[in-house]
Amino acid sequence: MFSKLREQRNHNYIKENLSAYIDGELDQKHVGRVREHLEQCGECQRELALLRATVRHMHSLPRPSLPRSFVLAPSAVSGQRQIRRWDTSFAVLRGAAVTVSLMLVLLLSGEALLATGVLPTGMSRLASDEAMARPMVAQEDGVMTLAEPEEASKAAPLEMAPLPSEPERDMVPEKEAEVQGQALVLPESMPDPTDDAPAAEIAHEPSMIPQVEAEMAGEGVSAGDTLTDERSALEEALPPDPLPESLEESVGDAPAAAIAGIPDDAHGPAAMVEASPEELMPEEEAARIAEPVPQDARELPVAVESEAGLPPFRAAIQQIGAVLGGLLLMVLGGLLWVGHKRPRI
Amino acid sequence: MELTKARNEERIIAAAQQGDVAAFNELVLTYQEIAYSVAYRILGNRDAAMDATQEAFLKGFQALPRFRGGSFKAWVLRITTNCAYDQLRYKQRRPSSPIDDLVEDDEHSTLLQADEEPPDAYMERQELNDVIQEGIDTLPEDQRLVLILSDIEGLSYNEIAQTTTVSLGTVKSRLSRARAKLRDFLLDQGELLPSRLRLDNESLNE
Repeated sequence: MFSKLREQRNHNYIKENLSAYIDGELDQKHVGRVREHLEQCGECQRELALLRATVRHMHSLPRPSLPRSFVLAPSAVSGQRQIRRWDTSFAVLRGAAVTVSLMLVLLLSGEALLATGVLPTGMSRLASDEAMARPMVAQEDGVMTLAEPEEASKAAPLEMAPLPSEPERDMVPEKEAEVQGQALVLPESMPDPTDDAPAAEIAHEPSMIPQVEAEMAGEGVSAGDTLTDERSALEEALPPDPLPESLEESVGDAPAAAIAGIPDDAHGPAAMVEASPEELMPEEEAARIAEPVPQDARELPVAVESEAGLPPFRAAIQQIGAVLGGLLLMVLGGLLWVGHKRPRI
Repeated sequence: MELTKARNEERIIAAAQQGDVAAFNELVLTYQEIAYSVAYRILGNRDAAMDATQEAFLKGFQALPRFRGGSFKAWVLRITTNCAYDQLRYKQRRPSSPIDDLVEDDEHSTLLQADEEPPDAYMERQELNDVIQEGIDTLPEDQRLVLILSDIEGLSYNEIAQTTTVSLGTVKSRLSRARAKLRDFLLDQGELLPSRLRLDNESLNE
């Protein structure tokens, strides 16, 4: 019973391999198996004879006579150069497509980080830098790095000040302020001031303060600090605009964090907050400094300005994104075209 | 001897890869017969086969810088079969009238009559040739190509695998199936097979 089944399977196997057997393309051990089977199987013998006859017929087919020679004219050399050009442009376009795609991905992820507030925008970066630089400092040593916040507070108003006639204004507004804002943090950890990464990384630390709060924190801070030397100028420059509710709301963790580290010599509402490093948990501070904030609201035009100032920054990103996107489309179009035109095998 | 031939070919290929047309034409002279023959068997038409062959050599010259070694014959035949199948699809989109095909086949027979060959024998050979070509045409494309390369052009399984870019096992099974189908076709046609085989077949069916 089983041996019959096995025999049948063997028979089928041999039948399938007779074709390779006549061509001598079977392994030696299979050749032995085929021969052994052929000796006792008439059907396979006939099958083999038929196959051999078929192959013989095929072999007997003559090659068609060559109607003409197919040698190439020397003018085909130009085709050779052409193909090299096609190949080169294809490679260049492919590289360009990859590069532009990478740039676009970087830009878009940066934009996404900005949009979600994980990475602060140019204006709020300054603020949040302070917002976290301060608590850090405060926790370690309340007196440390007095000069830095001072500088930062200078930078902030300058950045936002609408009037060019402002007395202390001697810096190019946006960029220098930004750089300074970064420089604030850098001495502590980061070696490269031009890199955005430090700001982004550090921005994470103060318990992921949402962007708006961070901005507000910045305002609060600058309000406090500015009072030392900038306040009068700002009051002149900026129309009083209390913005009470938003500020009340904004008195979350961030302002507290920011104000926590305000230097002792700071005059003004912020100074009302006692800077006792041990208990400077931002949440607790938030309640205590609820009052000063509306007064600081005078500085809020700055905040409004900064809110209004944000879109240009993101708009620039979007513009670059659009340009890159257009470039990518063009490169991909070129790639498709060249890929289509270039001769293939 | 074979080794020197292979080395010589490598040198010629290297020169042709640099754009040396004369060197490439040496390769054309070596392979144009088999290339045209394969194209002819795929297409069954002289003019289409000529177009396919010429295009194959042009493309081969252009693509030669991308040739990365291996069997040059298989490489050339791969280009040729691709060109032939392009032609085939072009022809299928714009089929010519049957009369055109008949005229063409009559005028350009692939068979040459030997001086001493009796007319009957020549006619028989011609007939067999036509029936076999007809049988080849009934095969699926992939099986047909393997059968042509193996049984008409005499390529090894390895060369066929390189030409058709399939595995050795696939070549083996495709060829086995193609031969079985062609065998059945020739048996159905009857008279063209030796009577002994016809008898064998009858005894098989009994």
